[in-house]
Amino acid sequence: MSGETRRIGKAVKPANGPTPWWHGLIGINGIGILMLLGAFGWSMARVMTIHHELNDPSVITLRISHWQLESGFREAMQAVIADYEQMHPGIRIVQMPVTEKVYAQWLNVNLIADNAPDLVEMGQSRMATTGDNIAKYFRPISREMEEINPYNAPQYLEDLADADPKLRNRLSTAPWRETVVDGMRGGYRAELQDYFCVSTSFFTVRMFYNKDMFKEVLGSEAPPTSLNELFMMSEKLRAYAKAKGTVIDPIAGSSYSRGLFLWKYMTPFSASFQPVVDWDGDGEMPPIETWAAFQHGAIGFGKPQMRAYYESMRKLCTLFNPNFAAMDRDQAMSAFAQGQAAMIASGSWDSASIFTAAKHFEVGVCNFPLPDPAIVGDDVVYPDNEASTAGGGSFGITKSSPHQAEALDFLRFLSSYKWDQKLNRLNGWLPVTIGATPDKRMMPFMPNPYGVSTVYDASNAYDLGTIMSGKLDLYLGGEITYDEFASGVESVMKDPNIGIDRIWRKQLETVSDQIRAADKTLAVQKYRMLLGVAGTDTPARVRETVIDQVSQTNGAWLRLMYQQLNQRALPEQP
Amino acid sequence: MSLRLNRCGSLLMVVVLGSLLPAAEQSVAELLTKASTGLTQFTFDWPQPLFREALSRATPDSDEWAHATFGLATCRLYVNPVTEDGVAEATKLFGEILTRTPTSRFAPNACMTLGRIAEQPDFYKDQADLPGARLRYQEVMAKWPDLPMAGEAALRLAGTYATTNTPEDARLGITTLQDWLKTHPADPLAAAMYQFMGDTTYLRLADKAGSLPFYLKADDLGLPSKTKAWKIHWRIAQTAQYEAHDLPLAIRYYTRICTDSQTSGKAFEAQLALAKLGAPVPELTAFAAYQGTRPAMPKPAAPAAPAIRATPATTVEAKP
Repeated sequence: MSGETRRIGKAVKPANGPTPWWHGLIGINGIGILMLLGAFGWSMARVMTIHHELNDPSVITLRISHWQLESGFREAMQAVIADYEQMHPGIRIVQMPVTEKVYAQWLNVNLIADNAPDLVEMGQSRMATTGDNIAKYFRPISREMEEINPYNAPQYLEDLADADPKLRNRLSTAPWRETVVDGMRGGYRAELQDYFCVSTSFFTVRMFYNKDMFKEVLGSEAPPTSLNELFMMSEKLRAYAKAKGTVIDPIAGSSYSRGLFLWKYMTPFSASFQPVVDWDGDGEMPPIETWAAFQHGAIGFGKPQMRAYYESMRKLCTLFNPNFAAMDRDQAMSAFAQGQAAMIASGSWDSASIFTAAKHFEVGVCNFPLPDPAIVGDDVVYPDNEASTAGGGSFGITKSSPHQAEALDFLRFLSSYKWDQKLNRLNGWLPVTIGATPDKRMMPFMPNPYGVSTVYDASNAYDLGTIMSGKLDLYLGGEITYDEFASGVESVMKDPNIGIDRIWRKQLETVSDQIRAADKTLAVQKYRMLLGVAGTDTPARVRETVIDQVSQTNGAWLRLMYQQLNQRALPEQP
Repeated sequence: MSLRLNRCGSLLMVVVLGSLLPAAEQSVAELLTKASTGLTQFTFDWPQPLFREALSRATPDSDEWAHATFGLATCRLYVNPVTEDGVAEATKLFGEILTRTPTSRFAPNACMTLGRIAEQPDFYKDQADLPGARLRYQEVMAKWPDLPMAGEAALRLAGTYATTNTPEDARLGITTLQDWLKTHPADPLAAAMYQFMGDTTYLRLADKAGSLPFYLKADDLGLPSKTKAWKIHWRIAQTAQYEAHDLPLAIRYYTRICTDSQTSGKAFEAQLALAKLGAPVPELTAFAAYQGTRPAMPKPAAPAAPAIRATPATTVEAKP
């Protein structure tokens, strides 16, 4: 150091002797080092504290992961956790909320690393949705499903003191599986013949509307009673906004909500196709029956119902904000909450967020208004049936969990009458336990059993689906006409490589995979029976799987269907 | 000082060498217990070396040997990804159980699984061997006729005939099951067999009305799947209404859907059908809390007619 040495930001007088070492700590650099050391020390302390908390031998820590970042869920879950921790002082439960944008990747990494949380919300990732992976990473809980849920014991049913004794009796004495509305269908994996998770809520989709705006502009806060009325109301809303020199979109649209409209209107427009689509007459119409009907001409884009469906969807899209395709659901919700749109479509899972965000007006909820029968060419039109809605918000126990008994106990707690109701009332969702009722505002979301089966299900179409979706985007965006959309899709349907024939071949592969998966399930179930560790209902389940599997006839029914409908054999190769 | 160092060094060596020695050897029973825990929870990879070690140490042809062989074969067959080598080894191991321990508790399962391996293509370019599968199923039926698995073998045998999609084979499949049921009327899979005969008649023989007696018998015995029973009930109701013109039967089954399968998603359509037939329409009590609008029921198209076709429920024979 010379006498001309300068410290950054501050001049230092030349000195005769050597500079003391501690002078170097003074000034900007020194402050920086001190801050760095402070931050490091704080981080260390934080890490050590968390480490100590998580590894405290006197406390069992359960981790529960989910992607429910909607308003209210974490708080509701924490309230239930607090009740549980109070009842079980030796157990601590830590929520791990992860955004759905990365939940799949996050979960995959942790499952592979045997570091997954004890309880995991099932979904998003293939590792938590496909049979093979579920069997590998999650613990089956069928035997526990046959046991009574101790948290439905009479002392926890004080709310039901005046209720039907049969209900109280069922809750406290029936197997756990029988204490939820859907019979735990949401947690059952047919291909594995086992239960792997427990549902806590169920969900439906509805339209939310701005009651204040309806009253001011339309003179009534009543929701539209038909699709035609919705279109007329929308015209009035647009005219009102224009007169006021402002912009109001009738519906807050997004790439997300567009799909909801397409889905909810499929059934009312296509129900009359049922006799020609339901090839095997069992009342259920999987996608392959839709494609088969397309292929042999029983349904097609030229049919009046189909044209009416797609043209109505196009008209609905004109009621959205013009850039709806580029908007996500949060942006749409924001537009609705700010009064820039009069209506929005979403699921019950978003209800708390919407009710909370819409601070300046009253929110109404209604079902999707039905099209006029004349448009559909029928005497009467019904909505889609929601009676078979399976539970969601399902949590499973990972095999890597070191505290499986405690995790199972918390699942019982979470799905019991008292706490499932609490979770869902606080959160604004629909409880799944029998007898539990939602918050009053959620009553319009209760599943509607007065509807008909879905008939037109154009999913599982592989390449054809991708092309159809692209063309549909262009049509709904107003870039091509209906006839261009229809002819574009129809020409691809006939392509032997990527058209409907490919869907048949892929379906054969799927059936083959299902048969093999059933073989695997049967092998494990029969092995359990040989060792004497099977559940009491295992023989019945084995019989059910056997008849399911034999009925598949190694996919021969698909070849038979193709042969009968097309009067030729299914080509093995394009 | 040097003595102390030597002692420390010796102690250290003992510790190091001790850590290198294998842990106390597990018994065959312990190995099987551990491996079984994995297999009973759908895990097919890590139990393999445990079963293999148990197999190498078990007394040949003992129950432990058969257990280890069966466990290893099952894991080799079902571990992902399935390979030609894995299937070949599983086939060999299941075969050894049959030849070396034919009276073992694992033998019927081994024989049945060999039938499944023959019937179902397991890997890319694997071919189904239906005659080979039939021989294995017939072997199970002949050797263990009193086990529930024998009934499964009979059903699978019938399934191999239905797989060809020819009416002749479809009838052969039905005859196979009828013959089996004559000697095993209380087979636990009897309802499944009648359901299968109904499916075969409805789909493969294209005789919708002819399927009804089979379905009714299956329903009398108790359909195997309670959650999917509504599908069979719907098929019975529709077939009775539109093919057999047996309106009382149609009404009976539409009513069953309304009362027994309210969460199937089909109950409202059954209500509509009942209303059109002029029959009483049951309430959907499971949805009593629903507060939304309830559509009006349609007016009857015509008064309910008496049964045109009597429907036998006990004696069931396939049409020639």
